Amino acid sequence: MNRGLRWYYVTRGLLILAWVGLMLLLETPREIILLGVLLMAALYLWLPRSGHYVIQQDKPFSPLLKDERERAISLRAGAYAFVVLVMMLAGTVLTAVFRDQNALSVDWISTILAVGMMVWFGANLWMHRSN
Amino acid sequence: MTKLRNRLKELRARNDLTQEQLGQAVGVTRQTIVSIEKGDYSPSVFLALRIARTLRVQLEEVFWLEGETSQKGARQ
Repeated sequence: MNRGLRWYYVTRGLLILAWVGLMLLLETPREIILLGVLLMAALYLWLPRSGHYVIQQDKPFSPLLKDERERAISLRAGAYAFVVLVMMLAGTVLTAVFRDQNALSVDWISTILAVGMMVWFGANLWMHRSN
Repeated sequence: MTKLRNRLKELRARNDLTQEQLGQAVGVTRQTIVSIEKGDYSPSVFLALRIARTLRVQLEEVFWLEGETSQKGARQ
């Protein structure tokens, strides 16, 4: 284990424990909690090794820092996702007005948000490969 | 559009630095150094100056605009 990241792993472990406690209070099924723990642990283990962050040894609790190229990529991916979100929302609202509907489906709004997240993730991946 | 050219790979090798070491010295990831060397990413003035200082050369010896020659190239 990288000794410089000891407190990073300790604090993220505590975060996972706190999340498990909250999920147990909310009576979430054990399989879902186990899946969440595995995903969070994998994410926290992968982030320092992803090559997307500079490790700051002088900041033991938040050692991961995005450098200027990573920040530029995140910003551009966010802008693409925002444009897609706004266009889809505008299209939805216009369609609703055209069809004389008074309410928007929650499922459709969730779908638009999911598409926005996928655009953000895809743009990030594409820019990491091409930049 | 005019591109930014560089001699980063050559100067880094001359200073016996790996991409990882240079990245650590200037506070960026190895991938960022790789991207700069390939010409895929143009660094900020701040980062370009830090790189030049770390390699102990003038900024124009590392980076120059396409169509111009590096300061070292002009002197030769």
